[in-house]
Amino acid sequence: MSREDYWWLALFFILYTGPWGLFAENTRDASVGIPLFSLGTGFSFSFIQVFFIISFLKALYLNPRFLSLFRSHFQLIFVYFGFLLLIAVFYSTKPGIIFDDLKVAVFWGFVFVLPALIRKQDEAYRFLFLILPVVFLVFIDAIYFLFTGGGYIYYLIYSASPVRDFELMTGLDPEANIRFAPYGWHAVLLGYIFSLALAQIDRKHSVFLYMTAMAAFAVVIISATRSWFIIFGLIALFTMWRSKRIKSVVVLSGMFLLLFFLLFSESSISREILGGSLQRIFTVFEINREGYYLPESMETKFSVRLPPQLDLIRQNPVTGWGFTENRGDVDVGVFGQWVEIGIVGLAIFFYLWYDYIRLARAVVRDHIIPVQYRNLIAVLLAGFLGLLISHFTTNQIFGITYYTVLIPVYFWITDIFLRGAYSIRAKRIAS
Amino acid sequence: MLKTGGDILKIPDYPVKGALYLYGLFFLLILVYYILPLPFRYQ
Repeated sequence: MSREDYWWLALFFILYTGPWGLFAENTRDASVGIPLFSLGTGFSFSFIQVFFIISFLKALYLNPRFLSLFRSHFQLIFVYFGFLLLIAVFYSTKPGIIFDDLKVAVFWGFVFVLPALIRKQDEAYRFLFLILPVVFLVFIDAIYFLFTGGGYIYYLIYSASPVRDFELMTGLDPEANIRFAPYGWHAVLLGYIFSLALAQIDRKHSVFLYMTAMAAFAVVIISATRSWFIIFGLIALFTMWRSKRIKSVVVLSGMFLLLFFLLFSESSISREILGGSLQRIFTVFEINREGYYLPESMETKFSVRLPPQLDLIRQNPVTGWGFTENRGDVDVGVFGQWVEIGIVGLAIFFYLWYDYIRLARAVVRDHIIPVQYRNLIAVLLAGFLGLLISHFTTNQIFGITYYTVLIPVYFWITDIFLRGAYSIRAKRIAS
Repeated sequence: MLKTGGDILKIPDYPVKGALYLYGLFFLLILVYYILPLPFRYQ
């Protein structure tokens, strides 16, 4: 790695999120993608794992001190993960299972790597600017999906893809409800929140930032993910209310939507799929209607997926199952996390969430800091609350092996802007 | 560790050159690892 570490870390992030489903074939029998680096049987590493190891070693060499506003929280989490590792050994878990989990869990190490390698504020901005266009790559994939009636750009490259041999056909009407699987989702999620947050203080790039946010929203609509539609919608409404820039946002989004629908009114296939996606999305507004039934996937979550998780919790409520064969289900939110880390682990995470909210809220309410800057922190806080809403209702965000890069990036960016707020405050008081 | 001495409100220009190199490399990797091996792939 060179002095421009932010550039390399941006490259890592792009390959990690895998827009278009590329670079995700991390199995030995995959015939495409970057090959695995093997040191022997059962001891192989993917490109991104090797990348992490190198960056971790460099961070350790440059600055072995772990300095973050959330240092004590993450240190506690890592110690607890170590304890769970011991428990897994105690339960005689197969080494292969422990090792596979560890290979993903190590990405939590980015909470240390990012602040150690990206040390200047302008480099942090550049890192963000570099990763935002991934949202447009996913958006192009979504448009291609609509135009071709369910095709992906990946098919153009490799039609017999082993990672694409499933179709998302869940929904009210399977015929009209083929859903787009947003490969590169982590970049879309981060891109949405960060672009809206940056737009509060960055007038120079505001068109680019708002376009990024709209493209991310469009991806959510096409993929017909109801929970994220609600969360993205709430963040957008909150942002508009905070920034009081409703007029410019409405004009921009109106232009975008017009272009979007004009584009798709030409093709009957895309019209059908988009209609199906909107139909599924809009079921969230029908909950109060008489005779409303829970959509199939919600019902499945409560009746099929949750009970086995509750059984696992009952068997081991205090410490959780950690790195053993007993898994948390990613689709039942916090219950999956409870299975993994138990009530003790949950308490540590509550401590982390509480302090994030406390620190961000203190800046938002601090009138010495300029209002635009406080709006930026407010959007980050709203995004974080959105992640928590998702985590407590549907998709598990926090866990040993989930979102292991997204969460460190989110906390690191918040850390930077909180420190920035303290520095602004100190300067204003001194002057 | 982030240097807090700088002005956080001083936002740099979009790194056009860096982005071109980055996404150029991204597409180059697609070419090398997905498109060029096509003729040699057995199915």
